[in-house]
Amino acid sequence: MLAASQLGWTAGKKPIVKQVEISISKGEVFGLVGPNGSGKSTLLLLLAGLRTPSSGSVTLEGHDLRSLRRREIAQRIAIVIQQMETTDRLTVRETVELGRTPWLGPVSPFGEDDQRIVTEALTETDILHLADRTWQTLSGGERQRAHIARALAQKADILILDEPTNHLDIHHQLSILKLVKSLPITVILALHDLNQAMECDRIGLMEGGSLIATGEPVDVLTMNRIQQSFNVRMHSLADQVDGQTFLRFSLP
Amino acid sequence: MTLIKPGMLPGWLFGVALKVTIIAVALVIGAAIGETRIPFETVLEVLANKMLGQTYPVDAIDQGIIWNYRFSRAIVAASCGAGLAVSGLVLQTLLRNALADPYILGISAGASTGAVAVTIAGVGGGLISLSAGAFAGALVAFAFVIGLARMANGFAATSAGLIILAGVAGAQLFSALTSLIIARSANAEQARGIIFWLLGNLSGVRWPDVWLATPVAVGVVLIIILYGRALDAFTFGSDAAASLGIQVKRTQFILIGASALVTAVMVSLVGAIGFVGLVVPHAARFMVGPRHGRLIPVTAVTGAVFLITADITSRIVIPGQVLPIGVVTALVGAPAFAFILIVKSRRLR
Ligand SMILES: Nc1ncnc2c1ncn2[C@@H]1O[C@H](COP(=O)(O)OP(=O)(O)O)[C@@H](O)[C@H]1O
Ligand SMILES: [Mg+2]
Repeated sequence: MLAASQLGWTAGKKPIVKQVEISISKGEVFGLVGPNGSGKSTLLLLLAGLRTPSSGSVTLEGHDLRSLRRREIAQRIAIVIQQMETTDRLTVRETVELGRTPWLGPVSPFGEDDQRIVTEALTETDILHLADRTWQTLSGGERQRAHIARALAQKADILILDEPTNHLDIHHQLSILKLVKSLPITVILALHDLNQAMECDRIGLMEGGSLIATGEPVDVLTMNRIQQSFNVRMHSLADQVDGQTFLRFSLP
Repeated sequence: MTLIKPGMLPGWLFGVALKVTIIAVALVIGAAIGETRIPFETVLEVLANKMLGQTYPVDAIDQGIIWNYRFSRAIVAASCGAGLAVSGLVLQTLLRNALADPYILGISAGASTGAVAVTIAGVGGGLISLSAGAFAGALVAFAFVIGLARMANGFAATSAGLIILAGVAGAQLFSALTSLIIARSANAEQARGIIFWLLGNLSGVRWPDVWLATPVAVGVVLIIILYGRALDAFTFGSDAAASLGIQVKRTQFILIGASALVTAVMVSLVGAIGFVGLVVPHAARFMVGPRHGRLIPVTAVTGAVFLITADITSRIVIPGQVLPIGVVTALVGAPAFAFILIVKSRRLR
């Protein structure tokens, strides 16, 4: 449903994303992994139409994003990017209400449906009890959850998250991942924790701006690739409790 | 007299009625107070005579002072205050900078340069009006300031401190250009008039000025109200706004154009008045919070009342002398701003 072909983006003359080919299917959870500076965030911005490709294109169900109106894109694609901060003394509920923007006209009032959707999003991300707190009083993890709730309130059918588990305690990391997997929508997320990436339907590995492998987690996260891309050694172990494999890393 | 109470009217209509009442009361007070104090009854009688075709017996001189001089002046002050305050608000939101305001960013200075270039240096050969010259100057100054900030920042997103520094540079440059034009082209008498006007001065204001200031102020405030949701979406930056479906470039273009227009018109009528655009939006945020749906109208009304009050103060603070209104707004605005900064940083801990 969302696809990129020959997608490239340069900053000045420096290529940041190079010739990315990707096709995300409806309903899948697609994880993007790769070392710092490999171009994950930039690729996500391109996929959401927030950067204009220097070459190639991004298509949503066959339509080039550049031919769609911003509002149409926002009704289909919601994104949580990194470092979204404000100095306004906005409450958590007001922040989440921003998610309804693509569905509201300039003067149309905020309806009961909108209120219900906002409350739902607050509940799903476990921040309903923080609804009246102002932004500046929140911890990093609480802010992250508020942004995720804002994106959920957008009721888009593609959700793009850039390192959504950053700043979150382990309980909320797991519950956010569980939540996005349970949603009946397409999710694309950049992740740092490779064990968490193992839980995705498919993953893509970025290195130096290129997408060097895509496929099922076990096929992509091979010993050799991890060693090369991240410059670490990897062992996979079996959990004695449930028999699932997990990855351990050490310096070479 | 019927009293309007909340609950009798839909909420928004009550809000509108309240705001209109506040401005009307401020206008009447503005018309009553001055070097000669005229009773409120007389003011109301004059207004009834002039606007409702009544025939109250009023002293002809009082009637002249109130109608031709003070009332028109109070309306221009209100328009100017509302216009400058909302343009400060728009700039603060779009640039995500609490210190942004048309005066600090050099837009007012650019408008002054444009106005002086048209009137004194004769740019445009009489085909360009004073306000059009001021508008062009305002846009050039804003483009200069943003361009400078971007260049200094390597074409990346402009940082908060940098844009203010660029604004200071722009304001200095355009003030210098204005002085240059005055020195080259104006005679001594013109120069004295212009310098007084540059400091912000409402004393020459008459009814024809109302017909320019008020429609522009009301029009710009209405346009900005229509963009209230879009402005909310800029809270977390322009990428976040775009992800919420806002056409960022177009919105910035329209709103900054509207701000430059209202600034230019006000500068061409009454000179460059500082601190209104800076202080009033912060005061309004204290009253109603950061959401633009309520913030924009409250900012407009507060700006109107603030400038009427500043104008009254400028007329009575030194007996027998009129202070430039820009001096009053700075004297009130600077401490108010310091207060806001302190309280705000305390609240944020
Ligand atoms: N606007 C920009 N201008 C210049 N360089 C940029 C810009 N955006 C990103 N980069 C560079 O591109 C590289 C990839 O960045 P990013 O996409 O944030 O990587 P990741 O999210 O994988 O850590 C980094 O080296 C970063 O410095
Ligand atoms: Mg990143």
